[in-house]
Amino acid sequence: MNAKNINEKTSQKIAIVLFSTSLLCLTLVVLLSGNIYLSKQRQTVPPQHTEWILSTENSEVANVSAIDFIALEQGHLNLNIAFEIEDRDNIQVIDESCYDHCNQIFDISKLQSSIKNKTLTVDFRQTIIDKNRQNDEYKKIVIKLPIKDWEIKCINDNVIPCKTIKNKSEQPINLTVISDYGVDINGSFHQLTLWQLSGGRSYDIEFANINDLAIYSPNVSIGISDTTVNRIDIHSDKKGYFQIEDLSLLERTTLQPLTDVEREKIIQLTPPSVCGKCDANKHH
Amino acid sequence: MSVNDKTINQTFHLPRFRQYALAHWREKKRAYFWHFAILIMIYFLTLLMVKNDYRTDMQCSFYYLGLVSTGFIFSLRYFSSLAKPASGLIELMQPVSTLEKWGLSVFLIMIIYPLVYSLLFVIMTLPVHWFSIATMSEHRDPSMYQLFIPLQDISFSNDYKYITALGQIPLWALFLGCNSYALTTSIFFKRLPIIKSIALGFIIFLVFLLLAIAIEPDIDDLMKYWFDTKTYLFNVKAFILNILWWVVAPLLMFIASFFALKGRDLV
Repeated sequence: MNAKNINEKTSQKIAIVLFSTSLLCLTLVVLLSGNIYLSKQRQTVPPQHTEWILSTENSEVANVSAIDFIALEQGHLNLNIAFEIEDRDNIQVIDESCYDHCNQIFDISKLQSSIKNKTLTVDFRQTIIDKNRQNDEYKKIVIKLPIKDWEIKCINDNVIPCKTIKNKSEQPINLTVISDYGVDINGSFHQLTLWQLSGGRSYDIEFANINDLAIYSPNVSIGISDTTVNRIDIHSDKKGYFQIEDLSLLERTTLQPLTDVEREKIIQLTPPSVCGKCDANKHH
Repeated sequence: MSVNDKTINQTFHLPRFRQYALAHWREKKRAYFWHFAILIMIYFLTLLMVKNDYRTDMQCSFYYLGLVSTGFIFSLRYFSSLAKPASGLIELMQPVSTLEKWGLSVFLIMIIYPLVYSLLFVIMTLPVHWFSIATMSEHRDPSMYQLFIPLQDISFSNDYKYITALGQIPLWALFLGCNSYALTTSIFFKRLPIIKSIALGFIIFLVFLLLAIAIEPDIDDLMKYWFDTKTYLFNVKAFILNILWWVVAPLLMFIASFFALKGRDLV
């Protein structure tokens, strides 16, 4: 009987030890986890981040207080840049949601080439402008990264779905954009860019909240009366299901991703999107 | 003791195990029937709400949410008879070994339960899936409305594997861990085992929640490992943490349930 009691107590003790060890394992993982996959990059980049200056070619715009790597997915690095603008009189923040921090998404291939020069160029044209800037003389804002032995692994090399269609008839286009992403899209940026015959970009139509677009109102109809529009680009930073109706007036009937040449062409053609005189998102 | 008795394996004897399983079924079949009847009713109400917009990712979420939560309840109630002196004594004095008692509980909870649950889920989902396809507007992507089959790769039209069989492994590990916890605690606590198990689970959850708030771990990274093993296979830190979280911890809990039963068994 005693032997039986001892056996029972031993078993109970073993059960408690195993139970506790299991919880200990879980605690250990929570303690050690953090950002498992990007920890290497984090170790090599900070703490020099105080040296990172957000500046135009002539003047410093803002002190960068922190740079955080949020995600590295689909061939893109999402960089969260927190900054503090000291000289508010000379600097204007266009996008109020980007008042003291901004998310910038980088194409991995371009980022790698930038890193060779140890300089990362960040396009802040939509968010910050230097009021001292003359006319359209645009100066890129540069963040200098003291990077050594920094490695970026591409996880899933999908391109941004950027699709181009052209108007062959110079007639107004009645367009319906249908987006059926599902519920997994969060804060994605969605934009239509209309191009004029002359080659310059005429204006952007932006959908601020993709969730509204995708879930509550999946069909967005846009009547474009401007007959000079001959080309429409659809941008999104997420892969998804796109469909455009009423393509009768358009040159291409199937939607194709931009070729590298086309993409490069757009980048070269893109003028400053913010007018220096009226701060509107238009050209005069 | 006769010669024949000596030849019988005291640890595990298949005919004895079969007899025990049959006796268990006769005693518990009514309780099991009601468990699944309630489960069917709840899922039926869920299906009424989703109507014809039952996407594959939603099916997947409902499947695993139901599997883990109802499996947890099933496991908690499996040894509920131990809480009552009379029925507990009968259960503990059943003329079978501890391994056989524990083996039957594992067989029913870890194998039979998911099989029956999956079968019911697919049978009940199928008409709603057909209805979704039949009434689908032309603007919707049909590939988003495929029938969800557990542990199967499902690709969508944008060529991105959204649901992978490997990616579902952590959810099965969660099922194993939760059920093992329920079994262990329901055996270990002699009085009010269900309430005490839930209370202890809530305390553990709170502790981990506070720890997570303080440390801000990226739990998503633990899931990411199974979705893209090609990339992360040789990431030592990721491998160790994932194995600890998804394999070692649930397995230890699983073995603990055996010793908890052994500690109480009277045979």
